[in-house]
Amino acid sequence: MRMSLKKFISLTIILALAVTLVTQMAILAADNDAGQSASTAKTTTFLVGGTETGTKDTNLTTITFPEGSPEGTVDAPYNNEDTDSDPQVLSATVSEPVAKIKNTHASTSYNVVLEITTWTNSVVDMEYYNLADDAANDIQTVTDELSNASGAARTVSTGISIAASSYKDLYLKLTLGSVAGKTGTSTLTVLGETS
Amino acid sequence: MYKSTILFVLLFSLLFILTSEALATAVDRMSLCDLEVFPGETIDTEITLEGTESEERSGFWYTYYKETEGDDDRMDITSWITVEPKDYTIKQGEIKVFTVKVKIPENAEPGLWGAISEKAGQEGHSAERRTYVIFKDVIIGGNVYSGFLIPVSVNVLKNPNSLVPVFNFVKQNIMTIVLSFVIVILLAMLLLKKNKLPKKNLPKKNQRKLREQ
Repeated sequence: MRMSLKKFISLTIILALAVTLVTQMAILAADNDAGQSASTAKTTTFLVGGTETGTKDTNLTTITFPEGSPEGTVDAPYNNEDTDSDPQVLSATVSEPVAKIKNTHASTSYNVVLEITTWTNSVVDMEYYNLADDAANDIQTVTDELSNASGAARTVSTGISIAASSYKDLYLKLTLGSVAGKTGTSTLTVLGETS
Repeated sequence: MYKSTILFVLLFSLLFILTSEALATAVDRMSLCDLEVFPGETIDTEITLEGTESEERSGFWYTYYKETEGDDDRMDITSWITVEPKDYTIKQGEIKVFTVKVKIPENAEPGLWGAISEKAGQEGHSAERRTYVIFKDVIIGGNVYSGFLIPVSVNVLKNPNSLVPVFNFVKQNIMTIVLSFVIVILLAMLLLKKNKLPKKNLPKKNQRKLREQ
């Protein structure tokens, strides 16, 4: 059984092509793992803490505004960590916030967005905020609107960002509605957003 | 004196460790922007939350549209989005997985929805975002929540031509197809030649018979 030269060459070409085809498919199927790795830290929400050295890294649960006269202003709220013995103070020299907001992320700064739900029982006419620098002790006014009219829900992009592992001071103030002898509630949310 | 100093240092360190552990909730996605999808389809994306605080927190997900003057109706896509499960509680060290479902209406026009720029998900582009999913949680019983805004935008694609998958397959496998084609041709040529060869190899007697036929 002799094979002609032409037949031999044709079969060799076919074999070479088939090998090329199989090799190419194997290369395509191979996992191109270059052995590199990278990772990013998870994003963390802000820590809303107390105002003193011992409480500023502890999440607080409630902020309470003391009782006020109808249509009056209440500007000395306190949080459950510092208690009512250590309320917010507005002053030209010794101001103190109601809460400190900490960006717990180690390397990224985040914008602060504040949100409140509608005050119940129509006790509040308007709520205001001031987001000040951590070191500021001369805060006397709280004028940026946090609620809509009649204490209605609102989400406010403050335009302020907090650097990684840093704090900002949150001041709050209310003007009460005209109803007397009522207690109302609302929730405050401190949201983070990438800048 | 020495012992009391060590005790003081230990207690102080413990205090530092306890306070620095009090964080809130961590999330593994900062944006869900430029999701590419065809009209009528639903795209699912997983997001995980991790509890990092010692106390249990209770929270929920919701959608938010940041209304801005001059926006058209492409900016508010909150009605397209659901998060499952919506409510959660989370403890320290616990990881919970949520699915953000974005269902594109059949009649959605191609183009960008939910943001004014394709760069909205990148750092430094917060002003270009409009639609968000938000999670927020609180220590159970509290009224001070913390949470995070995650922007969402969708790039709705044109309905695909039915031949597109075929073209894509050919494009991706062009070398394989060409080589296979060449092999088939060569094999066919060989086979045809082989069929002709026996005539030549037949004994002369048989060849004569064939010719007479």
